[in-house]
Amino acid sequence: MVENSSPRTYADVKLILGDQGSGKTCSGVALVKEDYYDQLTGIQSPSGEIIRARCLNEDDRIYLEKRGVFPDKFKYIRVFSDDGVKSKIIKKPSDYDVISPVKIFSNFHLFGMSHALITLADVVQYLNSDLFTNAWILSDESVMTSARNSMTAVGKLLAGLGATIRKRDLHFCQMSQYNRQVDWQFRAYATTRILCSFDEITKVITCDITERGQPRRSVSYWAPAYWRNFDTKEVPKIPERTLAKAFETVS
Amino acid sequence: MTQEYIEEPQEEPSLSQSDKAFDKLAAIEPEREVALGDEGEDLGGHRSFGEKMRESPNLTDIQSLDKGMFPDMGYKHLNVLQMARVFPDKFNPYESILIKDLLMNNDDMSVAEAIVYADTPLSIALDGEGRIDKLALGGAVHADEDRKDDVKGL
Repeated sequence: MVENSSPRTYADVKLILGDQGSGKTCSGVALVKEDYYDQLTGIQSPSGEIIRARCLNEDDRIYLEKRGVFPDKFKYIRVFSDDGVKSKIIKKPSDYDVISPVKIFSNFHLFGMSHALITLADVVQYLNSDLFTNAWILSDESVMTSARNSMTAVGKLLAGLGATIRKRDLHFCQMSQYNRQVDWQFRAYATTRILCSFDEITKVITCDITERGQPRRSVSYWAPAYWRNFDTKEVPKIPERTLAKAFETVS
Repeated sequence: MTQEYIEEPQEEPSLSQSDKAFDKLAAIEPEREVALGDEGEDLGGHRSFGEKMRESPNLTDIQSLDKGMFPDMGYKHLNVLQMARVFPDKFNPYESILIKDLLMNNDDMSVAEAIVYADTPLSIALDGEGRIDKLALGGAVHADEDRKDDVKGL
């Protein structure tokens, strides 16, 4: 990911809340996908050939809209010739991968976006390295930041990570069913709260957004645009040691 | 759908240590095959979440309600009238004066338009209902703040 010339002045910690099936994961994925596609640098064919590309800019959109095409920003891209002299707008072939410098860490699988699947153990292992810098971290359910773990050794370490989110230039998205499920320090670090609800008839997710320095607002979007990028039935993995410890108490 | 376009080739940014470490861990899997229903594959007329966030007028639900319930009539005296208290026995004379005033001062205004322009603020202000509604909205704001505090959970 390209380094920002000036650091952010606040920590981008988003708490995405809502009942089960309300579109929390979808909203987290949507935020990441937006950034991933905004910064795309190329597409890769199934045989490995890379074509330079970028997402459509405002001029491209106006150009297409004048011709009656209202481009889906995840489907239309501008590709360049090898020498960068000529370019054209194309609809991205569905079997081509999108190459983007955006780094994504996630505790669940993403599809169509390059990402590193991480567990709590990975976070602890790499906490002192600069791996977790200038990247997105998607934490689904409160496996990583559970309020119940706040006074454990790992809970304290993660609170330390939370305190350095701005310094590390991270975007941290925590998806949970309710606020108190999340460690209180992460609740205090949060600069954006998004409450989700899903309408099954229209397939629209409505997000009630409270963002630092902004008036509260409501934004609705069409959920199926992101359904190909994650599996809503995927259960985040619980660390083996936690399971073993719990097993000791019942065996 | 082609367009000539010249853009300066960009230099490949050098990878930092963290980028290299990330590349070792990262993988890309193709998009899942999911039936998206009758609306098809594309966003079509739908905007993405990010686009919707940028397009959002930044109005809260209550601000939107306020704007709808007390519309800007385009005339200062009609806006002020919305927050007045109009007694029922004054309604008809008021309306007649306002309609005449609007028609005399606006050559291109139709009679129907003048009636709507006069009737809207008057009916909002009838017996001070507009003031009462505004206070109720204010109460809703406080209730909303309380709800936000509950959600914050601190």
